[in-house]
Amino acid sequence: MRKLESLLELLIQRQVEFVVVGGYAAVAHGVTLLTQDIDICCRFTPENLAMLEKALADLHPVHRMTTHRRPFDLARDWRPDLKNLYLDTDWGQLDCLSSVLAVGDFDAVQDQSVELGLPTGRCRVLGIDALIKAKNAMGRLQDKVAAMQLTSIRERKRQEEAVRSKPRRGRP
Amino acid sequence: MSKKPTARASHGRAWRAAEAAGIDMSLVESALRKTPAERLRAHDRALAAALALREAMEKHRAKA
Repeated sequence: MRKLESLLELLIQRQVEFVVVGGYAAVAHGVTLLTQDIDICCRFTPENLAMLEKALADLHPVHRMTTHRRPFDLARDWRPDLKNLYLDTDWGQLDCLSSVLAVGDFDAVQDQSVELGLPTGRCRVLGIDALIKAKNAMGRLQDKVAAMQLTSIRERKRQEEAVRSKPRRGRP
Repeated sequence: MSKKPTARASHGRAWRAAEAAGIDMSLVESALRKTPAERLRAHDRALAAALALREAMEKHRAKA
């Protein structure tokens, strides 16, 4: 069963340091395409990945790209050059990335993120400008469609801001 | 499926280009009326429905 929103809330509650990127971030911005996973960019330190492992412990996380869907076990999986984790859990797929194409490493991603309020807490989501860059850099058809929607949404937001900031006649 | 044009005079170039490319921008309009948290919830509901439909189709094909 996929419960992507619950998966996200779990990461927030367990204080994993991450930024939501990819298709789920696009959905938060208003894109209408369905995605079957959550992509996060997180700090690939042993401490942060230990928080991630602890958060997912009850959800039977496995490496979904391995032949036998090997269980996620940080003690065995940790290497200093570890870049990405492609996991499947009882609540859905979770891709953990150490960097985002056309944006940069975790610090660059965090710098270009916005804070989002959810009922169970606050989390950071990649900002619309950076997400458009990342989607255009991916170059797949689905990413191009997402980039077109995001560009339209950004244009709409800018129009709305321009209207709001325009001084009204007859008012001080 | 019928096309649902949402173009209006105030729509900018990017919006019109997306619509001309065949993207149903009425769905984007609808998404923008929601908060980000509501969008994520609506997405999860739609995904659950799509996956349930796919599972039902797989069962149907297995029987056939």
